[in-house]
Amino acid sequence: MSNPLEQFEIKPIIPLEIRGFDLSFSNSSLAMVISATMIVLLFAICLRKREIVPNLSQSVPEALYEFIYNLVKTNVGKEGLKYFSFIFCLFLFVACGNVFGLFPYSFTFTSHIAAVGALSLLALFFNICVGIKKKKIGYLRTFLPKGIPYALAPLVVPIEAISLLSKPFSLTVRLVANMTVGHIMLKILGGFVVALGVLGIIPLFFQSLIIIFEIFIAVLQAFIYTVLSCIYLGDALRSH
Amino acid sequence: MKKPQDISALDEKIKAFKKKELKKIKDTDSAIRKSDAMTGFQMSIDLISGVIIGAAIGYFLDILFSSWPIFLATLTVLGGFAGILNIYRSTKQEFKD
Repeated sequence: MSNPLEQFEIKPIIPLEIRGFDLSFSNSSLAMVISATMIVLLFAICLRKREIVPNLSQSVPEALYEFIYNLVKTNVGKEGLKYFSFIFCLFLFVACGNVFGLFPYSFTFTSHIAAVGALSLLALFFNICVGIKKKKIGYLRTFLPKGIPYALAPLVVPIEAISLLSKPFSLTVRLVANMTVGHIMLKILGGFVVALGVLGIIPLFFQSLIIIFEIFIAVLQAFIYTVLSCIYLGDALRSH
Repeated sequence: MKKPQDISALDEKIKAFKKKELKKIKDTDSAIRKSDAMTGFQMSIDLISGVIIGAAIGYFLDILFSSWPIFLATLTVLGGFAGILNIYRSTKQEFKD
């Protein structure tokens, strides 16, 4: 049985090193490019003929658009709709990456802390910029909520700062853990299918069920990632 | 040409439909977030992430100021408090929903 963690190995396709930094185009980068291209192609093909009464292919991206639009409206409020395009891209990218990783011989870039962590840090940086843009210097109030005496500032400010910085970490770990565990489980069961010969039909049956469950988890995790990003954006826009 | 009352009736219908759809999304959203296993997993990650981030910041500050292990010890404890604060906030949000 091959190593179940082998599927997460990053292999350089086009090696590139600049000043000691490894900037190779890897299988992870390729998976990201394919995911982004798939999104663009899906939207370009489905929205080829735009009509007032949508046909079946047009209604797919429209339903997705409306779903995320309502999600932003519910979790952030009407003022959050300005940042809808960012949230929409985030959802599509993560969902597409999760689903693409389920295909044989593909690569799940969402199972890597570096890739998802960078995305979460980008979301955090975006939220901080939005908060500063809206509340200007008043954004610093996030670190010392109203009603707290100034004498407690040396204790409360670091706690609030750590709480803010831990948000992208918890977002990342949640998504990475779910994707990694699912793929390891699939690989181990796949190994049993081969090793057990004729009796391999039993793990094959379970594997089919797990694949259906994994498709659901892939979309659900993208949804949770988006909902939490929306909540954090809402926190940045609202005062404590 | 449609009569104005027809249009206002249609407008009412659209508004009621939109309201129903929004409620449906809100219900699904909170149902997913409120499932027990998911809440437990989320809370444990919230708690642990506070401690890990606090310890990591403390570790780098100690290297920066050569003050081992003052920042590491202090910020790990404060990170634990930050984790508890995260859990408190997410629980409050769930109760609000």
